[in-house]
Amino acid sequence: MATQTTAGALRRDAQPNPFTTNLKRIWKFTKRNPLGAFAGLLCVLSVVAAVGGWTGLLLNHDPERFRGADRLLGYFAQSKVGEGTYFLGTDDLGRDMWSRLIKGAQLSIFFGLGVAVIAIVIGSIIGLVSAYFGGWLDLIVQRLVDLVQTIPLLVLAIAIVSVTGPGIMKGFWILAFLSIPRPVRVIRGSVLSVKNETYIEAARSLGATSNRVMFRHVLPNVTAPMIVLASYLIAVAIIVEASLSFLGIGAQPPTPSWGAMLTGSGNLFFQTNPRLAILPGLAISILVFATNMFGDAVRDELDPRLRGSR
Amino acid sequence: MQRYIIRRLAFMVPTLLFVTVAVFALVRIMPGDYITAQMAESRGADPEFLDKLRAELGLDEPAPLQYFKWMGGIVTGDWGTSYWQNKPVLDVIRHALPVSAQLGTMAIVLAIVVSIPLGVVGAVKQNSWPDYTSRMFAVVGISIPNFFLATLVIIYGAKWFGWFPPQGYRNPLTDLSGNLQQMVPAAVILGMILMAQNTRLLRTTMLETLRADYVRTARAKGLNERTVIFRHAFRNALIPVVTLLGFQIITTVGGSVIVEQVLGINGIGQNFIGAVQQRDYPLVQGILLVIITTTLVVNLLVDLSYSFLDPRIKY
Repeated sequence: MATQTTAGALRRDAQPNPFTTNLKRIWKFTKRNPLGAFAGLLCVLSVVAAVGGWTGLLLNHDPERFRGADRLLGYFAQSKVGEGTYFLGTDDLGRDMWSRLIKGAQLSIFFGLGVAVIAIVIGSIIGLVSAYFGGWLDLIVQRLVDLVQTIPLLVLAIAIVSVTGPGIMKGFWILAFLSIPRPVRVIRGSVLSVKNETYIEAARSLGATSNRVMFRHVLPNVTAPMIVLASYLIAVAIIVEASLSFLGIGAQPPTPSWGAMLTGSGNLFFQTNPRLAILPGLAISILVFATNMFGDAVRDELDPRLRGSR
Repeated sequence: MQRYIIRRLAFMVPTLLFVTVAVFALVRIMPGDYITAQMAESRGADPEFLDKLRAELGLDEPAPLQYFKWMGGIVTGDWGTSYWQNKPVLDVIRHALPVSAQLGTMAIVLAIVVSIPLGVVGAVKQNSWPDYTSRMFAVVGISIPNFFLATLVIIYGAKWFGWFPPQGYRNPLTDLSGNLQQMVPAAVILGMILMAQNTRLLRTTMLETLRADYVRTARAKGLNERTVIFRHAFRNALIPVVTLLGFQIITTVGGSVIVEQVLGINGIGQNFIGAVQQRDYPLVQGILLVIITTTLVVNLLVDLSYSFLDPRIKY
């Protein structure tokens, strides 16, 4: 007991301030992987934009309000009805592009994070239980997973959304459900490889229950692939939401969604005002880019085999 | 090997059966049917008349009976008649499938042709300008969603080249230039993400194999660098790429739904969206069946190709 306390005290002496330690760690990461750090910064900014849209702090206009006099204004245009400056101009209905893009970030981030969290939590539990117990349970789960994965995600999403009728929350739950098979696969594979390790056998011979072994010993050892998977799921969810909205069966007007902005006014006025299509398109691309790159960087950090080989 | 193929083929039968039930049920759950979709404009139509129309299409029968009739038809080559296009479903698919197949094949071939040199060069000349270029290309490529790329092609194609997506399908046998004008931009849009993914994966796996012991052995034997790179490193680096390719063929089917819709190409994707919107049960079922069968076959081919690429894998 006494030695442990001393060791703890020593460790605290070596790392006096957790805040500066974290800053140092981030700085080291930035030097090692500048692109990954940049992507991480973009991710943080996107979340800030989403929170700003949710709380309204970053909106300088009502994103859904029509203003007939202010239609199709350019960058930094002054409102003709005394509503201040439109940083990124207005669309064909006189709605502020900046506020709509910020509000769209809120939707995309909510979709990406929400779908990833739900899919990973449910998928991990299913994958863990299925791999740990094996047998007929595992067989049934795997066949179901195979089945869902034989159909392209987008095709299935389109088919089911048409069944239930368009709507953003329906799209959200459907996408979350359809994203479950992948985490099941990844977790199952990792658990199978961890399952026969000595430390699991040790825990079991000490009399640990199945639950305890699964959640205290197996799960912490398969978190690394989960983080990588999360970035993939987030990117896919953002793209599928935008695709559904683009096809007109996702977010319904006047809710601002990047995909819907691209297809709606963006498509109608592409010759005179390509800005209306390019801004939301860029927003999607940047967010997907940031998510992918940051996920890759985190994987490289977590996987010691890849360090130094880049 | 033969036994493995037979087992896999045999397993496809129950999977397909299950899938047909699932597809059939899914389509039936849609609220409203073809009749209500058609009559949406004319409210207050005589309900008895609507029921008569339903009876003509066989929509009044219980769902299980409809299912067995449909399955019987699938086996005998009568996939039903599309309500919406008023043509046999098989005819619609026969016209649409080659269009999508051409588009998908072009996209995938394009992706392979571009990504192999980029990925190999990126790995062999790591941290050089060619490597940075290929990485940049790959990163940008995976980030741009295909519908945004399609919109960009339409905006700037019209602005810079006066190019507008031609409407309707051009048969390559009668109108090759018209066909290519339509298909090449579509294939580039569809293939962009595939090129990017392949390039990234190939670069990473090449980096790993180039450090492997057997590559060092090959070099130590005095083989020239070309043989080492292509016979020893590249061939082994291909295995994950082939797995990815299988996934990609499935993704391409989904992607072509969007690209066909945006560029007005009358393939499986456009027909699928139209059929879903029109509640055209037979056509939706037929198209889903084709898509799912394709993916099952692709998965089988991917698994079989492993043993060709890696002699250690035997079935």
